[in-house]
Parts: sequence; C-alpha cells; structure tokens
Amino acid sequence: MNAEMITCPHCGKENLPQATRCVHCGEDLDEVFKIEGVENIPVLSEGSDVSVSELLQAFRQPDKPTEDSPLTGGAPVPGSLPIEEDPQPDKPFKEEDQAPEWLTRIRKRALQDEDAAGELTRKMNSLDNARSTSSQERVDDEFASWIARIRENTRRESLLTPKLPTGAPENEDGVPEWLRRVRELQPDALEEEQPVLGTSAETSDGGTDAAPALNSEPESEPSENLATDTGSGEPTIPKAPEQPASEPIQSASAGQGEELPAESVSAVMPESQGSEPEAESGQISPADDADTPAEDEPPESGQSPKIEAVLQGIGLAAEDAPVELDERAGAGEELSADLLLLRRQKESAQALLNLIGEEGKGPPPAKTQRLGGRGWSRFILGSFLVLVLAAVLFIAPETKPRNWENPAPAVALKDRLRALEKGDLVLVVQEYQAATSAELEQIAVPVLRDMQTRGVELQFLTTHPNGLWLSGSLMDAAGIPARETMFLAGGKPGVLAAALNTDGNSQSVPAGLKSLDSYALILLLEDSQADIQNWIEQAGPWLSPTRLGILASSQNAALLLPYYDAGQLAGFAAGLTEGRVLAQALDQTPPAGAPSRAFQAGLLVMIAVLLLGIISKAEADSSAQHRKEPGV
Amino acid sequence: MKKTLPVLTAAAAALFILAALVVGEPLAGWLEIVLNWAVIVASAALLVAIATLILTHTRNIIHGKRGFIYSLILIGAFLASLIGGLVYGAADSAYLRWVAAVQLPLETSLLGLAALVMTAAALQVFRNRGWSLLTISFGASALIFLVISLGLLQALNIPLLTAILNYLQRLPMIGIRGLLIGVGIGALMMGLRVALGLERPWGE
Repeated sequence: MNAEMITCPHCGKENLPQATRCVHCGEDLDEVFKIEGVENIPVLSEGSDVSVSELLQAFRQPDKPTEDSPLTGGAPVPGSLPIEEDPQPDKPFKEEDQAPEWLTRIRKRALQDEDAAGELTRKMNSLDNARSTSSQERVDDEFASWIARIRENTRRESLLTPKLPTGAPENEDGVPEWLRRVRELQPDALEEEQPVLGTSAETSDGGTDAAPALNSEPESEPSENLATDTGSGEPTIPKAPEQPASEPIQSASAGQGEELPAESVSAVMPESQGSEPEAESGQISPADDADTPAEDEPPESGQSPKIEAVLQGIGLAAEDAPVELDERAGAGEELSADLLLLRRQKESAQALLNLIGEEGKGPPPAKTQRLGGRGWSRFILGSFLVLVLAAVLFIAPETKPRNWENPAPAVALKDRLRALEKGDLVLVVQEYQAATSAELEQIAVPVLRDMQTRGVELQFLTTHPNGLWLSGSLMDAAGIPARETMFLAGGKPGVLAAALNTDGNSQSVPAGLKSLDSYALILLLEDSQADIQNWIEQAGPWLSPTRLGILASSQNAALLLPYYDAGQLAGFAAGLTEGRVLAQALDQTPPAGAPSRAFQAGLLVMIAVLLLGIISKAEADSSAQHRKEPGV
Repeated sequence: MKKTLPVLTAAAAALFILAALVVGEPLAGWLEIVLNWAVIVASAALLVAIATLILTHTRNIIHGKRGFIYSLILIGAFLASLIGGLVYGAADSAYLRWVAAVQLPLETSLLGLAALVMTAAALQVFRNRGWSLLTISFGASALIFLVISLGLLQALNIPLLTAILNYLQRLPMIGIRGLLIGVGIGALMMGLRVALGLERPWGE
C-alpha cells in the first residue's frame, strides 16, 4: 500500500493515490498528475456535456468522424491525432444548467429497456465477440485479467481506505449520494492535467447537473479519437492541448489506485492502428498485436509472471514495480496507449452502468441512532402513569368540592323540582344507552328518589328499545316500585306526534301517554345530543319552557347551555359533578362509586396520553434536528 | 314518473307539515293523520331493514362466506331475543334483565374502545400534523378542559381560581352556539331543497 501512496509536493506527506488534495496540508496534488509537455492543455469546461447516447454511439460507431475540437481547426498538430472536421459543426452543446438531459435519457432508457445495464453490457459483449482473431482474444484476455487485477486491488484499497472528508454535508445542494460519489471520483485536477485518449462518459466535476463532462465545445469522443487517429495514419497521441475529455469516470470499484501514470500516455500510437474494426471495438487490431512484444504470450492471470512480462513489454509496469513507460518508445508504448484507451472506455462504461443502476434510487436511509436510556425513560414514565392511575382508582380519596359553586342550570332545575307537589305528574323519558347507564343512573337516582318521596307521580317513557330493559335497573336503584315503561315509536315524527297529541287519542303514541301539556315536568335522561335536540326542537315549541328538564351526561353540557340561556329549558344537570350538586340541593345522598372514579381515571389517561404525544413529537423534532447537524 | 312521484310526495308532505304547524288548529286533525302515516311507514321501514339484515346474513351462512361465524352469532342472538320476547313478553322483567345483562357489557366495551381510539388519535395528532396553530390550540384546549373536568381544581376552593374556571367552562358555549346556528341553517336549507325537489335523499 505504501508503495502506491503519492507524496504531496508541498508538505511531503503521503496521500492516497486517488486524492486530489493533500489531506495534511490541503494543497492540490495536481502536480503529481502532470505530464511533461502537456501542461498547457486547456481545462475542461465544467459545463461540457456528452450525453449517454453519444457514448453509446461511440461504442457503436467508433469510426464516426471526430467532433470539433481545438485541434481540428487546422492541420494536424505533429505528434497528435489528426481529427476530422465534425460533420455536424452546429451541433448544440449542452450548457451546465441543461445537463439533466443526459439524466433524462438515462431514465428514458431505463424505462424503455427491461434492463438498461444489461443492454449496455450485451452491446459491449457483442462488440467483444466481433473480434475474430486469436491475437485479439489473447490481448483481450490479458487486458481483462489486468483490469480485474487492478479492480481487485482497488476494491481492497477502497475497503481499507477511510472515507475522505467531503467538507460539506451530504446532499447539501440536493445532490444524491451516488452522484456525489461519482463526482468525488472525478477530480478536477485529473481532468485538467491528464491527457487522456478519451472516453466519452466523463462526468463533470461540479454542478448539480452532473452531466457527463466533455468539453462544452464539440470534441472528439474516445473511440472517435482513435478512429480518427488510425484513419489518418498518424499514430501519435496528441500532446497538443486536446481536450482531456476522456478521463474516465471511475466507479467506486474502479481502479483508482491502479491509475496508470499519466506519463505512460505520452507514448506514440502505432501506425497500424488505423483499422476501423479496431477502433470500433476499442480493441487492438491484429496488426497491433503483431507489433506488441507480448503477442505470442498466452493469456494468463494478472498474477502470472507472463502477464507481467507482457505489461513490461507494452510499457506498463507490474503492480508493484515502478512505471517508467514514458521512457519507452515504440510498439509497446503504442499498445499501452491503446490498452489505456480501452481500459478507460471500459471504465467509462462501467461508470455509466453504475449510474444507470443507481438511477432512481434514493440515498440509503440514514439509520436513526437511538440514544441509550430513552427506552428506560419511557418505561419509567409509563410505569409512573400506571401507578398514578392505580392510586387514583384505589388509594386516593375521591375529590369532593367542599363549597361547590352551584351551577345555575342545576340550581334552576332544583327549584323546578322543589316546586313539584304531591300528585303532580312527571314524565321520565329514558333515552340513554347501556354504556352510559351507570353515569346517568347516578345522576337520576337522587332526583327520582326525591320525587318519589314527595309523592310525585312518575311515568316512564322511552324512544329507544334500550330504555325498555334499562328502566328496570333505574327503578330498582331509585327504590321506585316497578312499573311499565311506555315505548314511543317513530323517532322525530313520534315526538312531534306526542307533542301534538293534545287530546291523548293519537294512535301513534302509547296508550298511557297523556298530552305532554298535562305533565308538570318532562324529565329527560339523555346521553345523545340528537335526542336532546329532538325533544327541544320538536316538542319544545308546543310546551311551556318550564316543563323540560334534562339530566344528561357530562359531554352534553356545552350543548345544553345555549338552550338554557335561551329559556327553552327549565334547567339541567350534566355530569356526575353537577348531579352530585343537585342531589345535595335536594337533600339526597349523592351516589358515589366506581363510575366517578373511573371517569376521573379516564380523564387522567387522556391527559397523560396528550402529554405523551406532545413529548414524543418534541423528541422526534429534536432527534431530527440533531441528525441534521453536521458531524453528528 | 318514477322520479317525479317521490319528489311530489316529499314536497307535498313538507309543505303540508309547514302549513299545519303555521295554521294550527284547522289542520291539526290532518296533521295527526299524516304523522301517524309517517310513524307507520318508519316502523315498516325498520321491519324491512331487519328482514334485509337477516336475509343477508342467512345468505352468508348458506354460502359459507368468509366471516360467516359472525353471521351465525347475529342470527342466533336475534332469534333468541325474538323468541324470548314472544314467549315471555316484552314487559317481562326477567327477560328485560337478561337482555340488559347481554347488552350492557357489549355497549360498555364499545364505548371504552371508542375512548381508546380517541386517545390514540390524540397521541398521533402531533406526530402526524406537526406543530401548527390547529394542533397547538387543540392540545391546549383539550388539556385545559380535561383538567377542569377532573374537578380537582374546583376542590381547592380558591375564589379567584373558581371564577376563572367558571369563565373557562362557559367558553364552549361560543362554539356550540355557532354550531347550533350552522346546524339550524343547514337543516333549513336541506328542508327547502327537499321540499322543492332539488334534493333526493332517498336516491335516484
């Protein structure tokens, strides 16, 4: 590993080979990648854009004439690859802001193709299969093994290499994680300094568009470059400032650590590389093989000494050996340049495959770190709540107001009840469900007992079938002799009919039910707002306001208040508390027992749950804010 | 005709009820007759609904549909109640006590379940809706009135606190008055639409 480290020219400390800036002093490591004689290569424009389709086109039609480049304006520069005029000089190039077009194309392709990556691989494989000569296969095998070895080493390095600090929070600009990684693998310095024969799938280093970065000007694609070179018969690789358009995108698994020294690219291309099939496939032609010293060596694994010999012969050092390819000349250097071109093409394709594979995938979900102790705190809080509830239910004395300020509706109802005399007829209407019977019985029993004591005559009526079997329990609790409960059918029309039954001969009301005006008081036992409104609105207009009194469950208090304030009710008592007040006013013993305690316990549970919801929300917000903080 | 007749019937009944309530005594006898019709029709509709319910669940049992065991329970409970009522009479105290013994725990459990659901909703409201004016006001008002309903503060017998609590307890009147006004206006408009044939609550 140490042998592969690069030394910072500024501080002299070692850095990872893929580092573009020194991790110790922060200076650029561009000089490391500089190549003699090519320092004046113009910098790639970040806004350059080459779409995926162009890259794929380059694979398909490597002999396509090279696009315009700074070199194409005049005669071929000596020592450089002559590039033909672009047949479409007016081809618009994408600006940086329009870069998402390539992304759109990738998406379209991914949608259209069942397996876009697989399609690309098949195309590449088909190109590989197109090579027919044995020497091509041999060279390919050697190259493949070499690439595999490079990638394996790089993978090992990447696993052992700590993640470089990015200096900025992830997704700061909304850039996906995968794209940021690609950009990390595409340092500017390499693009600027390293002359590359060119692949077309280079992504720009900056900007959110992340377009495959070639120069914004029309420029040659890698395979086109090769084709042009070979076609022109001038085999040299450009030393002139041709756009370094093809610095390959190196995926996470790409061989950064095994990046060939840039000096090796300064080799001269062989003259025999001009064949189109060779350029098309991006591979080396048989003629090239004839020039290579390693042409007779059988393909072997990258670890074999033979392949090392081949690499030595073509100008590429073995893995651990120092590379001095720039000192070599001739066929080996030509082949090395060709291999380098091929390798970059494949790496570019691999990068594209990775891009396509990552397309549509969001960044990996961040794992929420659970802070230790929160589970225990919640458990303790829950246990505390349970204990409080148990204490309220079984230990703590029931709260009773000593000097309760009597609510006005209850006082008014008490006055109305006190006004009843012996022999007065009172209609008790039972309209509550079984679930609320305990609460309503606690409210109604003292009142009924008081009326029964004072000789008031009671009649029971219900509009719900429930009232038929709940009335027995109520009578038993109040100590009232059992009597029949009348059933008034018809709902609202029935109540209206009962109210309009002035002569008591209506066929739709029970036989025992007299005219409602004949009752001194109609006492409603209600737990439903609809039933309350039914009686007040259907029967109330036909009755004197002093004839309607209501004993209701606590949730109906708010509904009853406006009717009481409007003078439509004689009075009411809603809930156990007001029922207790009313009972005390009537000199009756207020009932006490489980319902009131359970009511309080239920209220406590509701309060606790509300607080728990508020606390949990605040905790979630705090955790989210904590995660957003950089470096956490 | 199929559409016109229900509209005409509803409109005529509504207009007649209104007229009878306004005019009073001259139409009182006719109003009683119409109300009797309404009660009878409503009772018949209830019987039809019961028959439909029984038939549907009987079909479920016959065809062995998924969950037919619940249909079996429903039919069994219905038949037991019906036969018990027919045999002992609807006013028999033993029969009424037996029905109440079945219904009381069922309805109480249902109400407790509703309370649990509301509690869970209160727990989730902040998590799902975040901090907003609505949720904060909801939480604050719910907490205040739950604490007031406990009765613990009233038991302290502090005059100032009692005055404040009395004031707070009358606050819901504001909302309920608005609610009642809205309900009244809505009912009026709905009644007019039905009377004029613009609304067909019985369906097309």
